[in-house]
Amino acid sequence: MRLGRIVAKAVLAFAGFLAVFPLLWTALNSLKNSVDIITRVPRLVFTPTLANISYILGRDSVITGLYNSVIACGTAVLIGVVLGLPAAYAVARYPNRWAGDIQFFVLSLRFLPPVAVAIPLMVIWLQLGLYDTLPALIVTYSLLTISVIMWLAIPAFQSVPKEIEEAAFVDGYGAYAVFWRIALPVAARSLIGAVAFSFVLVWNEFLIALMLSSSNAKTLPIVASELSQQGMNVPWGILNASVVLLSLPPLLFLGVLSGFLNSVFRQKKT
Amino acid sequence: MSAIVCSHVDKAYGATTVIRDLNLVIEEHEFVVFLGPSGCGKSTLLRMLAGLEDISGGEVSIGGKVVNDLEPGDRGIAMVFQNYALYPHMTIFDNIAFGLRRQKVPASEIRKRVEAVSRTLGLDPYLGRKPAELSGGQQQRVAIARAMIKTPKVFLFDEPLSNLDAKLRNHMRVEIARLHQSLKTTTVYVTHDQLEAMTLADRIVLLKDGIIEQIGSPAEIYGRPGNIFVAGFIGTPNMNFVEVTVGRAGNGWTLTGAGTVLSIDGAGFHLQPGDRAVLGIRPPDLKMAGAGAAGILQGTADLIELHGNDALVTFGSGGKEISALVPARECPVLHAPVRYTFEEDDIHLFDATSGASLRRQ
Repeated sequence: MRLGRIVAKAVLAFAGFLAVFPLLWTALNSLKNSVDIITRVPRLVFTPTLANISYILGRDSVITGLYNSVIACGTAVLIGVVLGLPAAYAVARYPNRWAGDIQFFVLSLRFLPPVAVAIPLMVIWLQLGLYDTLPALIVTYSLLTISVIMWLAIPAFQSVPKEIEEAAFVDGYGAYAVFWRIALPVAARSLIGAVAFSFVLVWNEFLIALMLSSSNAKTLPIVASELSQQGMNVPWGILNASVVLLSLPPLLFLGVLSGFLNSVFRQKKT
Repeated sequence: MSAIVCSHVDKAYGATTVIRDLNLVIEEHEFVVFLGPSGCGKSTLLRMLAGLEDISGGEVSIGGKVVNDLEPGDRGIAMVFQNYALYPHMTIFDNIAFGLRRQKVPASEIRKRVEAVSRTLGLDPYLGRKPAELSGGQQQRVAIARAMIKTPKVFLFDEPLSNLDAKLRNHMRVEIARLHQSLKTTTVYVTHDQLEAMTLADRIVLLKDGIIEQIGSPAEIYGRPGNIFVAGFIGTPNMNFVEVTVGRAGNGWTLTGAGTVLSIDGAGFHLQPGDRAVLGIRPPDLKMAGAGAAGILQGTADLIELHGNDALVTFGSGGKEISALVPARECPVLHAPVRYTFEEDDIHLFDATSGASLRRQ
């Protein structure tokens, strides 16, 4: 029993190390000069520099990419929430004979390889004259966020006990009030997970963004990838700094959400 | 004026009919219990009264107003659910106040009414808590408070005690009975527990397969069951049934079956010589027979279950198992011969084919 616990903790610690160390190493490297990065023996002690980070933040392309990413992903998630949650609730609570097909269709949007979706979308946006614009990216990403949010929110709404909603009907509330005041708050924990997941998905999205933008609407992943294409000498420090910049918003987003989750949790405990 | 009138009510899900041409009148201040085996349509009927299920045919009126197309909130009803159905994200206070807020009652009055109701039900200390922090019994009390505070025309209870343990169930049953005595609100209560039905009801509506088998006071349902289903469903231990053939003997009648011939006066029943009938006797109605008694059921005691004060003695008579509930001190030893008799008033006779009671009205 004791031995089992020790082994289990060791495995857990090892798995945790595997997960966290690369992130930590990337963060450290972003603070190193190139000399400290390309040494044979990895250095844990070095003279830190902010040169990489200031280089990154000083480049217009990075700032534009960050702006594009925030606007495109933020708006797409907002649209996903506004349209996806009510749609999911409708499918979960007022199923008609198409409900099963709707659910399958929503999932099937994710079956196709992204490139198969990206090429037709590129042609569509080119023809509409919206190629390489933020609106095109927002609409495209909204397709992703709506489908992901719907797919994850339908079971979340179904797991809300029906009697709770019926009790609210008996208390005199209509269908919309029941959605706002009962279903949404009760399912909130799962729903927040769904929203966060959809945000991370579009924030990290690379291929579609690559196909739909050439210069104006480039998102941060595209800009970051371009940094590695600057000749033979790979600027490791700058790359690491861009990765850190790229990772921060999802972490912040998740941090805010989990803080919100914790507060909801704590209220229940006291 | 009647509180609830159901006339020719039907309920169908697609091709499956669960309630068929149901007619029922519930008087004001009455406590009516819908009783029946699971799947008999009792909960469906209650949910139709509440407005949570569509009414496929017929008409339901509450307080003189047809409510077929009214939303649940507009029917003047309040409902208590089996699993309490409290709003998990709200405090107990908000749970109780939620319905009043909808009616735009001023905040100060809401506070006053919530406090009054929670005092009645002993919920004062919990108003700031969330439902998950309360025990099952307390949660059910909150659900009752939430229903009470709206001062509805009709209370609807859907198996409210079946999630509680046996002790708490008895306690809450008494509380519900007291509540009805003091509030006098018309109540419809669904249960599959005949003890709850017998103790709480002014009238029991016994349902089977969406059809009313019998409506009556607990005493009527127990003492004068209208058919063999009602007789078998009500009463623990279950009624003994013996298939008999009716014969004429002088001024009286004979019942031949279970290896014996029983002579009865038969004046209280519609009988024809040669009829096939089912004789029903409740185990407590069988008494030890003295020498020379008529109408004897006898055999060897196969099984003896001691219940404390009473003992249930099961014996075989002509290949038929019969049980008698006797005082424990009269309990025979196992495998001893036993002889039991009965009063003619206590027996029931049913038509063997239709199952209907043969008793003269």
